[in-house]
Amino acid sequence: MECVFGLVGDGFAIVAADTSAVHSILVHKSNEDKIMVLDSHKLVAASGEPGDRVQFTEYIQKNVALYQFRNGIPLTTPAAANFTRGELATALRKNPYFVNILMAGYDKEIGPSLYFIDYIATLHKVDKGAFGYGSYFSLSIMDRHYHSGMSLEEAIGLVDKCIMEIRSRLVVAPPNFVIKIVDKDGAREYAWRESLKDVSATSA
Amino acid sequence: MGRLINANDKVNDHQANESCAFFNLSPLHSGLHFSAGRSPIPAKLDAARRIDTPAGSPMSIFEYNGSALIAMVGKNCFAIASDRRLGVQLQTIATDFQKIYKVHDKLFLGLSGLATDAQTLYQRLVFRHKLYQLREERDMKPETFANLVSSILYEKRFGPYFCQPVIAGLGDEDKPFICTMDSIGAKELAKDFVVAGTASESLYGACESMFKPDMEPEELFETISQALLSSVDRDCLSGWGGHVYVVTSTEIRERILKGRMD
Repeated sequence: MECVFGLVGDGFAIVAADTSAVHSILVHKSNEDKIMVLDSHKLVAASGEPGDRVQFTEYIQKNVALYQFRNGIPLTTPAAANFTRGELATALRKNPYFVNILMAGYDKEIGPSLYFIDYIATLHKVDKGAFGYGSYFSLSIMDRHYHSGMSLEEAIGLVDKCIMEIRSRLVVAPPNFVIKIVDKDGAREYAWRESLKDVSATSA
Repeated sequence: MGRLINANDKVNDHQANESCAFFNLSPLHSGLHFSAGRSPIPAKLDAARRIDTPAGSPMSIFEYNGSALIAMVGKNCFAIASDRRLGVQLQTIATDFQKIYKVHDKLFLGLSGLATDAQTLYQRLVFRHKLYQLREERDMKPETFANLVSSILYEKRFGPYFCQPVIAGLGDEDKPFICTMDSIGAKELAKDFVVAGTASESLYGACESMFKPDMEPEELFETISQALLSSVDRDCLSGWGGHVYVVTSTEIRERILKGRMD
C-alpha cells in the first residue's frame, strides 16, 4: 500500500514517498517516483490510483507553469494548493480523481508550508501529514518526535524512524522510499532509502 | 420510447455505481443518490449514504470528518462554538481545523459535516456575499443570509452538499439571530440555541440543561464552552479542543478552549 508522508522543519519542508508501482499482487517496479517537482519551489507527493495520480499531477504542473508564463510571477504555495483543491472539488461530483496529495512549498514571505489535500478535496495546512496504511505508523512516530523548527538532521532522523517503523510493522511494506526537500534554494531530491535494488535485465 | 427509458436506466445505474465507488460504498447500495441530479428520490435516504470503515461497520457520509457546532443567544449578543478536529473516519488528521467562518462583523457561519463540501459551500457563500456587498453597498442581514444558504442548498436537492450549517448573527437593532438547517436547506429558527454535527444529540441535551435566557457575554461564554466540551467528550469523532466566538454589537471575542485532547 502506498505510503506518503511529510513534515515542515526550520526553513524547509520534507516529503517522503514509497516507490513501488503495484498492481494487485504484482510489483511492476520499485523505483517509481511519486513526488513531482511542481515548480522551482514546490513539491507534490501524490498517492492513489496510478493513472489519476500521474495525469492529475501533470495537469496541475502544467497549469501552474501556464500561470507563471501568463503573469510573469509564480504561484504561491497556498494559491497552488487552493487551485489543486478547486480542480479536485469540481471533478468530485462528475468524474472524481482518486489522488491524495501532500503539497510542500517554500515562499519567501511565508517560509515553508505543507498542505494536506484529500481525494475528496479536503484542504488543510498542516505541520505533518501522511496518507495510506503507512500513515497509521508515520503519524504516530511524528506525533511523538516532531516539534516545530526541527533542523534538517533531526527531520531526516525522524523521516528515517518513520520508514523503519513502516518497514517493520506494515505487512506489505514497500521496500524503497524517496525523500525530497524544498527550501529557499528550491525543490530537489534529497535521498533514496533502498532496501531492495531493482535487478537490471543484463545481469540475469 | 421504451428503449430510451432503458438506456437512461443504464446510465443512471452506471453513474450510481461510480458514485458508490468514490465514497467506497459497496455497489449493493446503488440506487443512491449523490450522482448529479438525475436519479429518483430514494426510498431510504439513510441506507444510501454509508461508507465502509477499515473496521468494517459502515459510517454515514456526514460522519466522515466529524464535527460539533453550537450557537447560543444571549442578551444582545450571541456565541458560536465548534470543535477543532479534522478526521478521516477514525483517524485524526489535524487538531486545528476551522469550522466557523466570519461572513461579516455581525454574521458568523459554522459548517458541520463533510469538510470538502463545507469548504466549497463557504467559498460559494463568501462569493455571493461579496457580490451582495458590491451591489447593495451594505452587509447582508442574518435572516437574508440564512435564506441565501437555504436556497443554495436546495439547488442541489438531488445531489446535495453534505453539510449542516449553523448561522449566527446580529440583525436589526443588534437583535441576535441564530438558525440551523439540514443538508437540503430546511431552516430551523430557534430563540435559544441550535446545534449541528456528529455530537448533536449530546449537544442538545447539554444545551437544554445549561441554557438560560438573557445571559451576559461572559456567562454565555462559560455556558456554551461547558456544553460543547461535555458533549464532544462523549463523541469520538469530534473534540480536540474548542473554538468559541462571543459577539456583541461592539466587539468579537475569539477564544480557544483546551479540553480532553483525544
